[in-house]
Amino acid sequence: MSENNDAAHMSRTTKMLRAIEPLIYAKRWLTMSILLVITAFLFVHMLLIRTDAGFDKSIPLEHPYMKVLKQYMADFGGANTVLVALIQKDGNIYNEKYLTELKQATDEVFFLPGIDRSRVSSLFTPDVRYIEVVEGGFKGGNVIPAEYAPTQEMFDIVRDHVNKGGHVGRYTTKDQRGAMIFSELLEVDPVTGEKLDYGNVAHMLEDRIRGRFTSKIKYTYKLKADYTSEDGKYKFKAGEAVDEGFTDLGWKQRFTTFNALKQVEGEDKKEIVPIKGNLVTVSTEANPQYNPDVEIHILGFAKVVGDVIDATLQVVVFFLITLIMTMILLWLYIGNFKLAVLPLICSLVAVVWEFGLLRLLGFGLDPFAILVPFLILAVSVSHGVQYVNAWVGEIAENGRNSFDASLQTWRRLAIYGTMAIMTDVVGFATIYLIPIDIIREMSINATLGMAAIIVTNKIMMPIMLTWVDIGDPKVFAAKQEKRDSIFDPVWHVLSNMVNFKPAVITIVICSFILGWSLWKGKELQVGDSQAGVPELLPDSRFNKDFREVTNNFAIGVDIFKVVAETDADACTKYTVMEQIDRFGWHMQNTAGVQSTISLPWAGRQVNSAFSEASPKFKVLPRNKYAMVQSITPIPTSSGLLSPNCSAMAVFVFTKDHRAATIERMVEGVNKFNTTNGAEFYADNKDVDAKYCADKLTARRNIGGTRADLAEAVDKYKKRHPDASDEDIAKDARIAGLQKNVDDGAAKLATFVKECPVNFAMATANVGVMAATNEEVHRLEKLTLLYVYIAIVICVYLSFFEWQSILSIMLPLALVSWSAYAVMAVLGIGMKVATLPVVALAVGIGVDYGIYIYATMADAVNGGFSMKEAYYKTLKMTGKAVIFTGITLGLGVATWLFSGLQFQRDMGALLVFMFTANMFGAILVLPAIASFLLKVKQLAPGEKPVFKPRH
Amino acid sequence: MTMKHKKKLLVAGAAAAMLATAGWVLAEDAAAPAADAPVADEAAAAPADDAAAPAEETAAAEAEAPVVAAKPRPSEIMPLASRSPMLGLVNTGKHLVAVGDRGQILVSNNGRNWAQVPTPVRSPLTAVTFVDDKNGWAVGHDATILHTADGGKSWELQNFNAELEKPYLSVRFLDANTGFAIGAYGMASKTSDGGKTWTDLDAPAIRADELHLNDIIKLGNGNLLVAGEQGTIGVSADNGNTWEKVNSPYEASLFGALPVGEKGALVYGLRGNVFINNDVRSGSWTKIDTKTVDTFFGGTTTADGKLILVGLSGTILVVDAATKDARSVKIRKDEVTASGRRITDVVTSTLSGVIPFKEGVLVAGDEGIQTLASLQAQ
Repeated sequence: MSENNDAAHMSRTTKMLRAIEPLIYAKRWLTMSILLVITAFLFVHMLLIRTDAGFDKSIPLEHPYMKVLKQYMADFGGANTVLVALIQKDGNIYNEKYLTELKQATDEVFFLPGIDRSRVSSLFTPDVRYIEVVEGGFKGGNVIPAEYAPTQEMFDIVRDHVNKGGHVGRYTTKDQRGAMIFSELLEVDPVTGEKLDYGNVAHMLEDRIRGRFTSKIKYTYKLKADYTSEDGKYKFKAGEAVDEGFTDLGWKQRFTTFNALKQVEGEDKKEIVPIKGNLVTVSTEANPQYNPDVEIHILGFAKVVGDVIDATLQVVVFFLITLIMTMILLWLYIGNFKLAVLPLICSLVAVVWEFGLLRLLGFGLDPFAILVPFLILAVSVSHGVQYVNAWVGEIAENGRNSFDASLQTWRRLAIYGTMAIMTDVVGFATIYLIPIDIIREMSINATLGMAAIIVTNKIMMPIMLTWVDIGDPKVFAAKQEKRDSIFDPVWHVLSNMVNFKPAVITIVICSFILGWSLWKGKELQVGDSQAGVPELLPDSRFNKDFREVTNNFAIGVDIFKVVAETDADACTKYTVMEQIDRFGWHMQNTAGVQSTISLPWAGRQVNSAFSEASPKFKVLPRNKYAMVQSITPIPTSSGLLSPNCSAMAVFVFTKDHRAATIERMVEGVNKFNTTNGAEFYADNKDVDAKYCADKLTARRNIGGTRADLAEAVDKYKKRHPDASDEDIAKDARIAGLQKNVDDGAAKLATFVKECPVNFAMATANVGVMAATNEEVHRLEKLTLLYVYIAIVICVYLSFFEWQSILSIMLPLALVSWSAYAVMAVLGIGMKVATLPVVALAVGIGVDYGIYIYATMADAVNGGFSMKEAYYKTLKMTGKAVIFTGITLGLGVATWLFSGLQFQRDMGALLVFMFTANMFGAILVLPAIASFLLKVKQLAPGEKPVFKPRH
Repeated sequence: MTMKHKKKLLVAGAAAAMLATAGWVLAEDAAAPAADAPVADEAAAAPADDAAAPAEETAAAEAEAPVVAAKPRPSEIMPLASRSPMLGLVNTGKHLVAVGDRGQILVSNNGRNWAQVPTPVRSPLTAVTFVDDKNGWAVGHDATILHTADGGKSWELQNFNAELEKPYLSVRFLDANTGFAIGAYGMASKTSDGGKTWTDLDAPAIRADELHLNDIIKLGNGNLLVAGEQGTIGVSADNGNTWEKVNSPYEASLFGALPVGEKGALVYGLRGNVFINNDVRSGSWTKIDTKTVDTFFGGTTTADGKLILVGLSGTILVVDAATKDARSVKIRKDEVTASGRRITDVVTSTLSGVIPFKEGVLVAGDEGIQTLASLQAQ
């Protein structure tokens, strides 16, 4: 670098800095007041932020599997299921008390908000049937007859039907001690277009279903005074019961809205009237439905979200513990309470801004993104500590007053600090490239937070520091000097890192660590590595429920649904049904599969039933009329076939949802499609693979356009709640989309030739996991690559020298790779929720690196020897880096005691990231830099000087 | 009209329609099994396909799919074959051989470990018989007849006709040359050259009504007996040349029969109906009180003369021919769940075949091959 260029460079940046300075330092009170007003405004918005969980946004909708899921959602349902199992401790379910409870629970599930009522299924719903062979034919009907009454005779009949219908293990436990209610949630209300409130669903599940039968106390909510509903339509008397519940709401009662069912005058219907919690009192009585003999197990995404939301308070408490610990350590470190509080204030304000801006942009806080605010806090603390540290240095070493020290610090750190934060911003923004909405939200969230950090740490902090009264500067300086000198021997030892031997040894050790990480990192599981839900503790209520259900039902909760795509009315064709039947058998033979169910499977049973239950006729009939006869008794509500039979679902029940199991499913389906296709084309020379691929594309396009149409209609309905169907059809955009759908259907209709059955993956929960795993697998390294490219560019722009890239990036990359290995060791799976963490944590490491490198390079450039330069760096910025790493590491370590497994895992990962990045920056970076940086040759008699190069 | 009769009409009508529209297919296919080499087989099939198109367009405007003569495809070797539906099993003296769904044939030396062997068809196989430890035949859907000459290791196709839409349900050989295969809708064939050629069995007494013929057995005295639908019992005293119908104790389906003494038999069928006598021609039968309404689909005789029947809901019935007492036993399997809870599951799926094995029996059923170690009362 020539002197001239350097000088030009310096003057340019200096000019820029000089231009910005007045904005901060000229009218400090005004600037500060504006910032405070904005903060207050955003604080109000922060308080209004809602939790916003969503199933749809946590799945990669662009993945081909998910397109299949969306295309057949109306026929075969989605993956957002809610399962309620009622298991008796002893005996069988065929008694009055149990069956009454099951019926009541089924009704309660039916009336849950957001429930797709056509998909509620239990022994008490009409879609559960049985077939029985009698002399001269067979008879069938509902498992629980219409004339059901609680008599022993009827219990025997029901038991008989359950056995004959083959429902043992699916609708009842294997030993018939308990039964299951299946249901599915719709995320968007098809009538109003409103999004489902998962927290509410989870509460209702807990209160109305679990509480109803397991709580000894029943809570009745009565009005304190006369009340007229807001629209004046409904009048209530004081003491009138408006709602009931089975869980103790405690302090939450005030904030709960109760739903009173009020008879509409003159009409035979009831309307829900919302009543605020502060208007009611609660009275308790013994719960008449309390049944200690039955345990309730509830599973589903909604329940997981509910449990995570319930733990939010706990998460916040852990954040506070971390904060307070940070503050105390900061106090000990700086030795001045006022100074210790400043970085925390800046960090908290940054989080306020983050939440406020998030709400203003129309987002809510996803329970699975609770980590992001903490990352913001951590990054902010890191920068704040550097700033305060540098400011103290200015006073102690150069004897400046508060204002001058602040200005000097600003001049020295503004560029590097801002570039470090910009690097984070770019890194976090890069994650937006991942096409999963929840990750995109995290990306926006983190980027907003980073932007806020620039404001709080580079504007608020400098202003606040000018106001800090440190008393007599000389006394302050002397005190600092004394405190600092304690660690000088340590810095001396550490500064040896730049000597040849230690540097080489460090680099060699790092190479070994990298090698180990690459090897161990291969064991990193994509997806879940254990049964149950990894976000919750293994012994959490949910995971216990999960195990109970898995153990007691033959057909578990993990379902991989494959859609057999063919032509309309194809289920009457032997050749088509045979392919599907054989597919089911192939899947059954795949390791990890418990059982399979498909239309041909059901058709075989019916065909046998028509033949006096003879097992020799449990086959697919070649005869078309016999086939029709075998299929007719199977209703579309079975979820096995679409109304026109052009699509049939094959249910593959898997033993677990581990990534390896799912991979085998996917491989099995692909293999079958290939071999089956080859057999088909060998027999049917009139079609070939290309024709059938085109046909499939045409078919999938219809699905895509239909989904667009449905989404447009939902949005329209939300905007115009009172719109009629005609209004909707008239909307230009909707009409256009409708035309697309029609055109697509016409296009598909031109493909008249029969193709091999296409087994399309995949729906149901394991189908979603398959898509997510594939997407995560595809993206994990790619994301990191994007983030690194972004950071490399930013680092280069900060220093304009290639040495900076190698020195800063190599330790960072080492930590990223070993993070994968650590995840593998800790058994943390790579999933949607963890995918951004490694990338985000890169952001923590990069500012350590930038601060250390900047100071060291400045010192070397000023003529200090390598060792002196690094000693100086350690004293100036290094100690702040070490302090930040230790402080944040300790703070996050408290998370290991959280009640959320998710937070524990994140805690463990972050402890590693914070400390490993710290070590990387203070041990590895100087070792590498010592080979790359050149010490300025001093002229004889010239003294080394330290000054920022820009 | 009951559903079952409705079905008979429907199927009969459909079969007639198919016969009318696709008469050529039958003619073409009759030749196919004669071809030994599969290559020749395909060559024969290809021109048939071409010829099919015009004939089908004119004759069967209503039929949506072109009627293509279905070719037999080799069965697929699958890991879970021994746990998939099996329908018949036999002890050759050297090996155990079981047949079942998807053209599967399993062989075993110990009754525990079963190995699937390749077969040329995927059609479900319903019955199997051996005349010695080498020569055996298996029959099944699509009028399939398979033959082995090496004790069950390899199988060759002797007959296949998917367009007939009828299954063979039982097979019996008197010696290595003479044998009978009977099946649905009165289908019955015989061979006198070890299966090289199969001809229609001349037996109007039992075939005229086109009823399902479910089982063919050899009585103690060497007479043949056929049991079938609507209580059909047919007997032949001259190695199957002439047949006569004998008086039946029951009007609904009989799924099988077992020899009793020299001239007698036990017949079993729908809803727990079991009858026994000492002379099938006497016309008088004694009903056995089985205390169940579960249908029986298979039976065998143990070395000590006990008669074993298996059927719906995992029912296994032990009948003492002398006292005519019957008691039932169940196969139990213990399962320990992950939580340590022990569930003793009684097998309740359908059983369709049974043979004596050591102290107990081996059964073939919906869940594959299972073992009942002892016939002692439980």
